Amino acid sequence: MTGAPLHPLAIRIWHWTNASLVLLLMLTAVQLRAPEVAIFGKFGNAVWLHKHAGFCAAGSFAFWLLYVVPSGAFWRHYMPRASDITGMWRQAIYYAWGMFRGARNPFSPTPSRKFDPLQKLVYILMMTLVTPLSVFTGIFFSDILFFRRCIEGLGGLRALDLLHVAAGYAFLLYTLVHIYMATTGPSVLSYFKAMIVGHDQPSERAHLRAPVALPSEPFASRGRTEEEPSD
Amino acid sequence: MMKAAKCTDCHPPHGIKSYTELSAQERIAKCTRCHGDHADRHRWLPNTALHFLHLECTSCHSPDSRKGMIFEFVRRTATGKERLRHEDLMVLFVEAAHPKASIDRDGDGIVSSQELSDFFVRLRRTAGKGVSIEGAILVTGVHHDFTATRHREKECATCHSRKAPFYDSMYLLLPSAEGGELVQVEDTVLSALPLSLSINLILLGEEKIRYSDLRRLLFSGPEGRAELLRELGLRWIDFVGLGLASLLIGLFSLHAILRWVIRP
Repeated sequence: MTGAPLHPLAIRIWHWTNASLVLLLMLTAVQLRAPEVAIFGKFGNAVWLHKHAGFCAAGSFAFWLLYVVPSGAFWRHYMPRASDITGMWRQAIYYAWGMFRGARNPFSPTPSRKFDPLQKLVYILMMTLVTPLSVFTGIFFSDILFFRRCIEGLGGLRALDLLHVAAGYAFLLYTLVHIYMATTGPSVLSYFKAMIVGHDQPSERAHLRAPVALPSEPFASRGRTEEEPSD
Repeated sequence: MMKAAKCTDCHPPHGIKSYTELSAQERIAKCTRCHGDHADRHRWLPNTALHFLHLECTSCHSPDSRKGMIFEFVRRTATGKERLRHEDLMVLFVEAAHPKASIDRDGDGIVSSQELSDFFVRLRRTAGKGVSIEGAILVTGVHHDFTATRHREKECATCHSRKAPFYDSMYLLLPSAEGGELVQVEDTVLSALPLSLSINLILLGEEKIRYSDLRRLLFSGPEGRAELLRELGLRWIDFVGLGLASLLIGLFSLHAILRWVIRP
């Protein structure tokens, strides 16, 4: 494979580190929410792991911010554009109908344009709303006495808990969607492989037919072709 | 060498407050006059200072004592928080001879979450938004043997679990002319909205939906269902979160099966 990788090494390392942390946070959260489900043995173990995995996840979020914002990747890959509104509909039709008919995915990721419009919407909500909410409410929970003014400002301990748990459930829903959608590539494992080796495998798409046209416009007319730096 | 404790060490004959009226801090202060190294000896306890704000020593060091979750009304001041006194409540509720009658409207001796919520809304309307409800885990029936220790008291899940004994023993401490009076409250106060948002105490492992909630939602009559919906309060988050997760898993399973069956 030649050219810039679809997923640079730093992003791949960040992705799998973050995925491991999110998984650990969700499993420990199950025990915190339902102590009788003793996944990690003693309740104290789950608390310790959740707290420290949370700090690592906060660091991971900080790394992501420092990586994607200064490099311009945030605006290039994550920020939805007006044209994405019709793209979302097209993408949803593909998942609900087109893929059963062997249509080609209307979006083909490139190093300069990695996410389809639905991905953009979900990722930007997760990274600018849910993750910061989860990180900051988690940090407040880590030292309730030190952050008591901030907690009172948010409406008290139970409001803080509500926000943290809501963000946790959002992560659970996101993870379910993310893992399932990762199986919808040319082969069930191709997107997983791409996130490990960095490259998509175009040859795996060869068996698919041309895209199913929607009444508004053909899929083929979409997409930018110019190459931009990979990030 | 430390002397043996006498009754009057903790119960001074000229003390003007009964034990019921003492806050967790005031109760701890009695022990720490002799056991001043309590903070150092509890370094193993995560969030030590936070625990000592909401617990008294005998919550653990008298395993056979009866424990309860005690709530009281407090008001934010420039220097911190202060309890509402009997006079404060009587000025607010002149229509009743005793605040208890203003809260326990049906007179059954137990304050429901709805009754406490109604009272608290009126209290806030009159006394301002600085009023909130503080909570603590305190001994409500003492067993005076403080030498017994059990390993179980060091297990977090002894208290951080729905099975913790104080969930069956929850009281509101009402200031009265004679001192303080404990009035039993329903455990639903911890999740009832908007009341529970004003309670400044939360324990990990405290709130979640139970299988019985699901059964009540599905199989109880309209009245039982309406009551459950009222009581669920903050626990709605579990219903919504787990419901949506189940829906997604179902949809994705169907989608995956269709992908496998209708392979183009």
